[in-house]
Amino acid sequence: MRRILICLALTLMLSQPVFGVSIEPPIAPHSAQEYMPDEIDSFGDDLWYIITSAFSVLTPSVNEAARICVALVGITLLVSLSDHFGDSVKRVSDIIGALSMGMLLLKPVNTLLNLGIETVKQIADYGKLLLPVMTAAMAAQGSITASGALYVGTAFFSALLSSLVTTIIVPMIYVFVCLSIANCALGDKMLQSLRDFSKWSMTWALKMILYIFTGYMGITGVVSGTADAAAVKATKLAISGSVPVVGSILSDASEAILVSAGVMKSAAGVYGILTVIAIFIGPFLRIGVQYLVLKFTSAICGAFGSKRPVELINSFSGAMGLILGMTGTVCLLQLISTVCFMKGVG
Amino acid sequence: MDDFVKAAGIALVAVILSLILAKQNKDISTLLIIAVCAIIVISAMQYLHPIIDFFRKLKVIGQLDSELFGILLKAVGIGLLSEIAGMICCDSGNAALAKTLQILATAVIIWISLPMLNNLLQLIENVLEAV
Repeated sequence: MRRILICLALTLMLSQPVFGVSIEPPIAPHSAQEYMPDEIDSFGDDLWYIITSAFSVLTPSVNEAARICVALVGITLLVSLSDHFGDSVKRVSDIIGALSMGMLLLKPVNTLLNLGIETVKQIADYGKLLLPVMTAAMAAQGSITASGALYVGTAFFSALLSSLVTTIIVPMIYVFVCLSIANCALGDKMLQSLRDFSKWSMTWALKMILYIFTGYMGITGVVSGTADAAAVKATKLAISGSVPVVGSILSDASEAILVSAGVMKSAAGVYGILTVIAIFIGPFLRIGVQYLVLKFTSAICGAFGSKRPVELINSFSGAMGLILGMTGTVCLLQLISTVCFMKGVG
Repeated sequence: MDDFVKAAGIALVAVILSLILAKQNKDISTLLIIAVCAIIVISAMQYLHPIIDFFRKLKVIGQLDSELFGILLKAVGIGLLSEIAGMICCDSGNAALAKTLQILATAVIIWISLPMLNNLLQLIENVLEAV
């Protein structure tokens, strides 16, 4: 009896308390809820549901983009008529044409840029709620140091990118757009160089952040593993084609994304990932439609229009591409970091 | 097409006549050229109407601001007129008059564009406030 009692006492002393940790992701923001499925079943089906929901509400954006396309074609035709005028008249006609095109395009750029900023803020805010939850889940499984290091890195890059976007990229996009209008109006080489430099610097800043982030992820070894070569190739192609500006770098990280996608299938935080996608997909499609329609318009106007108005349309589509790249970078950074946590959670 | 061939023919005949007349009376030659230019511009008007209608359609579909569209159309019109008038001035040996006319056309285009420039300034102000 005494031995049994001692055994019982030792068992009680040696036993560790075990808690059932319930990991609940933060609720999706209002803007994302309209695309979210009612219940989360399988990742693939839910992702498809989000994409189809986002496409179904895209009609007004397409109409708006088509309207701008027609208006631009009209203005380019009128401006091109002034090609054979005398020097001073041609010069002033070019200025009027450039300013009218600028007026027409500044409004959608401003609206979509604000939409992009709002999306970046929403993704960053949601990340601030989601990542501590994922860190807690990872730490609960014993990876306290790894979860801490991952959280610090991700939070740092996320904050860096958000502040870079709001303090540098957004004003630079306005500068880029104004320089493009001025270059179209005056046809000055200096303005053209400045315009190209502003675009290059924005692209470079976004690319550098992503290079450093993917490098950090590589060094920490959070994202590692092998994925099917054909799937990697297909994903690289898809990502580099769909996200302008930074698509090539993101495609380099596609193996990491694919490995992470494998983790997502079995992970508990699928809701978080789907929410980030739902926040991003609406603005991405709206900006994407405008980007594609402007590319299409510049192709049409290139057939009959003068060089400078066509260049201006191209520059505005470049600005749309930068907004897409900016929001796409923030979204993919959030996705990669979230799935890294999920890999740790298992 | 027929009208164009006729206009081209009239222009060529006018050039030959003007060369012949210029040796005897330069004033008559210049007047002849002005008259032929006027005839050609008037005959071009019937073709300009459908083009302007097409631009109006583009304006309606593209929901382009009427003021903006009007300014662009007027600018093109002023440019065309100043170009024709300037050429006639040059042909009659009044290059200074042609240049002055171009300066006037430039000033008028800027003047008619002032409402648009004000709107643009307002838009820039709004954007800057938002930033």
